[in-house]
Amino acid sequence: MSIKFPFADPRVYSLDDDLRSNIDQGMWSSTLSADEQDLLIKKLGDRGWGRMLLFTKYYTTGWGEGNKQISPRGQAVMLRFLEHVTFREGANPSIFLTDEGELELAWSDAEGSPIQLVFGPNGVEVYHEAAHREEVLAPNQYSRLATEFSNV
Amino acid sequence: MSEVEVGEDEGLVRAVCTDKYDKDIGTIAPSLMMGPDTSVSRTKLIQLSDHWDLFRRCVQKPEKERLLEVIATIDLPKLRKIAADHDAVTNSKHDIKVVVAPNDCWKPRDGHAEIKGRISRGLANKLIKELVYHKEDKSKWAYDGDKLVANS
Repeated sequence: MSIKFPFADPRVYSLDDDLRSNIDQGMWSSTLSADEQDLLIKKLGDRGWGRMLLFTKYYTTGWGEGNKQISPRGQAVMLRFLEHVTFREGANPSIFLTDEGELELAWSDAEGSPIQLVFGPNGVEVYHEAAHREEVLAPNQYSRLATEFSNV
Repeated sequence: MSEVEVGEDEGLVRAVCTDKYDKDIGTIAPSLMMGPDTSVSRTKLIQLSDHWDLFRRCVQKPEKERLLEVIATIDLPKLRKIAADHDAVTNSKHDIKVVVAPNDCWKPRDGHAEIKGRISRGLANKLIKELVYHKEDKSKWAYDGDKLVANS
């Protein structure tokens, strides 16, 4: 005997019709799962989630003036970082895409000093002005970074 | 063919699009000025007001998702001075070299140039606060590190 679970369809986010019509279907599909999109909404808000959708769905190779598509490895490391980090209240981080296809996460610490973490294929670039810190860490350091920058 | 540097007193223009500008809260990405080989335009050959059409035609790709939001300007002597001041404080070395980079989309082709190489994130954080930002209604704005603020 089979049992039907009382669940509706799995969570699926969909784009507005006017956005969907702009996708070149043969080029790219979102690599963000529903869980990952949940994480983005939780940690970066609707604004950050929406920007990530733009970058993953539409910014194909050659965007702008011949720039690189988002780095899948950089994206994976940033998502792991987001799983572990707790942003301080009011941090309101912004997400950007660099010309090299890296994801640039930017916010200010409680004193207003800029913090930027850049997730690329080869590592995480760390910048914290107040701490005079500018260095590149290995991708597997995401957990340590999340601890260091939680509630900062 | 040898590289031709732009004139020492020239004004430079940089397009600021969706990927480097979080419009909802007004944050600018430092990677706007980090390169490698940052694409700029020359006011010596193309009037500032003509850059709206030029950038929409040449850099707004994908057309509906990477939007030209504001235009940033800086003159070369100021760019060199900010870099020199930064280097003196941080014991670093930036050799600011801006070369003509002919581009068929630019009219004239030589109106396009590049700031060669990479600029450190520390310097880029300073530069984005020294650029003058122009909106299409001809208003001028400055970046205070958090958001664009109207120039009085």
